[in-house]
Amino acid sequence: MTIETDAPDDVVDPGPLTTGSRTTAVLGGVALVAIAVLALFGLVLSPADANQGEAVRILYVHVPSATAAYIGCFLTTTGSVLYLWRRSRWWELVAFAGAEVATLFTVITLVTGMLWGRPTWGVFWVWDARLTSTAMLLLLLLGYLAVRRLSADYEVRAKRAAIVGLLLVPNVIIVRQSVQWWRTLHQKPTLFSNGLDSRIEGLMLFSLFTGFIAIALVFLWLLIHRFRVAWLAEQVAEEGLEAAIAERRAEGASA
Amino acid sequence: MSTVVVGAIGGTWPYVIASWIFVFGSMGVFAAVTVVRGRRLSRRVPPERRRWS
Repeated sequence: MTIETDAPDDVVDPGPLTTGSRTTAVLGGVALVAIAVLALFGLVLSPADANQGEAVRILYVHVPSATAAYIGCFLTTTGSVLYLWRRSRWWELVAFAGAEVATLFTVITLVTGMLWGRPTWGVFWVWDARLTSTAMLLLLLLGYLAVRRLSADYEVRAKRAAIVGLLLVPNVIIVRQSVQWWRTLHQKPTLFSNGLDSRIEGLMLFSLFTGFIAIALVFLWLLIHRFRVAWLAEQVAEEGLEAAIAERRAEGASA
Repeated sequence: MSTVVVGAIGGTWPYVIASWIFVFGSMGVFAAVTVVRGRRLSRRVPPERRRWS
């Protein structure tokens, strides 16, 4: 059986009017399931820690968020290098999207760290090497985003932002190593502090790894959508520029 | 019963709940803002320039 429609053959497919696609829909669905599993194990099934008590449950989202922030910074530095080297617009947009998502996860890391510090250390904040270097990382990311918006000329702002973006990975190395290089209140790494050995096990280790998977999926979903928004914004800006040039030419021809 | 509820609300649980709400709340807000911006911009870009896979 066939269904006849009155639609003309030359109707143009409007394409997706969102930044979503089949891939991101599947990714988003899997991420939601992973978050539900994380909540079940992280808040209900895993036991309280002998020393930290229930506060250990904050670490199931804090540690993966910090890792996601580092990955975002790594993407931004990589994209910045590739933009400066090959003038790749695609990589410049990856760098920009990575920086914005990394900023979100750095804020999450700092806030959850403070909420963990209050019941564990008795204070929300200390000027400890790990906390201070993470705050500096956030300032650097905000600086990158500010520079990226400063100039109207794409080439100028992309180049300036890429130079700031180069500083992110060295800063991440300082953040990561700060607990080894200086005496800090912040604890040393729980995972892989001594080769592949971990200082947690059982359901607590499982909850932490579920946190890594759930946050990684959310990170990827946000990164893809943010990249597509940046891509669309560049297309709109490019079209606006082309229209302005055409208008000027038309004015010149009629004069 | 009330002792159990008070015990669960007190101590470190408020910090745990606040952390989890902040984490997934901020992600949700970021996601919503990004999707809405994407929808707005999509209308201004020709379909051949926004083919996602």
